[in-house]
Amino acid sequence: MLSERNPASPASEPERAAVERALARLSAEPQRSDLLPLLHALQEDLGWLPLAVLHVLADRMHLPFPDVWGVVTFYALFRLDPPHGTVVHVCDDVPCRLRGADTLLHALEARYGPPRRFAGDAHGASTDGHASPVDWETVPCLGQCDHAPAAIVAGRLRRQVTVEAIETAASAKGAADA
Amino acid sequence: MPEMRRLLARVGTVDPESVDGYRRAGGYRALAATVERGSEWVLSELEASGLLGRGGAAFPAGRKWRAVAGARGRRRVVCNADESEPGTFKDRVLMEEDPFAVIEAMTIAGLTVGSEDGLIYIRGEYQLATERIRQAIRRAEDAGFLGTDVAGSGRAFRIQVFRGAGAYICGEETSLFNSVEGRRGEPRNKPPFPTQVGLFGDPTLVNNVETLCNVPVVLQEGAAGFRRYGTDRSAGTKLFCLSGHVERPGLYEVPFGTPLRELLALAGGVWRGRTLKAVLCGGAAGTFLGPERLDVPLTFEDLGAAGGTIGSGAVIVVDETGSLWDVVLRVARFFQEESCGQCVPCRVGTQRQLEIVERLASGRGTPTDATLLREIGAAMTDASICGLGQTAAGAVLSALALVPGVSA
Repeated sequence: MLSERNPASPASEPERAAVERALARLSAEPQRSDLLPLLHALQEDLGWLPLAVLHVLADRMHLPFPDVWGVVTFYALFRLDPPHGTVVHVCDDVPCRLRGADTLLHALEARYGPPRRFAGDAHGASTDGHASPVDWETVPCLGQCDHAPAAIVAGRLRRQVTVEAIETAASAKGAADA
Repeated sequence: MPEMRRLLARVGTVDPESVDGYRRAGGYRALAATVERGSEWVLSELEASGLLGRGGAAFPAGRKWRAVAGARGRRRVVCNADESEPGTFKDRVLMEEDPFAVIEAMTIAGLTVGSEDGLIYIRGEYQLATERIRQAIRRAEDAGFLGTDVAGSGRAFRIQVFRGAGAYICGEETSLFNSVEGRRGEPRNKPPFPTQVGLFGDPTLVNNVETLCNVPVVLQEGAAGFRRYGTDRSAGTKLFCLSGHVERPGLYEVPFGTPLRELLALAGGVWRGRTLKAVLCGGAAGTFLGPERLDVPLTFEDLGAAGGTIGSGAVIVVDETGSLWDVVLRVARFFQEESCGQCVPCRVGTQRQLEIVERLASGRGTPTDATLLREIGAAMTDASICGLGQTAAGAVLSALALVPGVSA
């Protein structure tokens, strides 16, 4: 039984259903080479990759769980903790830094607290004790150097981004979620 | 020398969502010629063109194509669109604005090397490029340029889109294979080379987006026509990505041999009337050039002789007010974060390099730090499995020469 192997966090029914939905998009039985596409599909569906979901996926793919874990943790775009608020990836690489990313980073930190630095980082609690509406981290070059500084805000690319634009996107998301 | 828009001819002028628009602008003529004249013609034109790979390693494209064409069994064609070199966005622009050119070139490759299986690996952050390529594939299928009978040739070719997931290392071709196969993107030892044992163990042709986009140009203009621009050893034109402290950051196409000074002038020069401190040529894996090197002709051979590299074509400009230490620190952190950790020289070397650069940048450097950096750099360059570790020290070491007081 899966729950015996991973007793701490058995997958919920919706999580199991998400795995089945992802698998149903394949035309045949899942191969190992389907792993990254499946992880992308699950993350798009759930917003992150809960541990229990990875266990179910490994089981359904007949892969040892450590293999799946090793892959998931290798790639920066896969997220192992639930995001709070609007997810923002801010480029802080050389070309963006030369054109204002450093100012943007300082402004974001002042407004939303320190960036998330690793999975499970206790980030984003703002000084007044409330969870920050923006869950942000820095990322290497996004390949938008001709429109620096760049960021991906709630899955959407933003060029020549400002802290105001991020705030607007976050409050729009907050209103939509409310 | 003015701009020379061959690869960029359709960018900004032709609808990237229309296969008919692409055809009216000269698209799919090279594929038609391939169907009519056959593999040997393509291979000999490509070899005579002197086209070198544009992903950074500058390997002769014709030789690679010939090797895969001569392999036995199932063969594969992979387009490396995992563009992640800091300061590089040329492949993104090509995929977003001229996606059919990428598709056509891959199809030519498939027919030429005898492959029915194409795959394009696009970095996960490139959403618009991924959408445009997916759409172009569908429209090419509908128009009979992909599928079971490519352009009336009776031969099949399909293209699968594969999304990366945020790992610079996956631009290394064997890491890319591992990634597609559902594994950690760690590089494999070479040999065997991808042309012998590649994706899923099959002989595989891997080319960068820009390299592929040169192929229809070569076939339409002929090898001699292609060589009208550039130098003997660096044939054709090159896309350069200008960023940082320039007036007009963007993508510029110039013939190889154009002096760096003229390339900067095309982008309006250093911004705000300031003077130049340094240019980081080739991205994080590149090297710094000081203002005294502005007359270097942009060719593989001249930059190589000057201790630099064309690399991916990234040209990052830092003006007099910019902090070189800030740039070097970011580059050192980049490699420390992106090292896949598989081989020791790179895993440990990038970490130690970062620690020393942090020390030097904060003014706490010791008299032996520059020597230590050189020794670590030599170890990484000599002993790392792949290009990431082999180039991880280049920018840092070249910066030492430009910073007063630490080059001892």
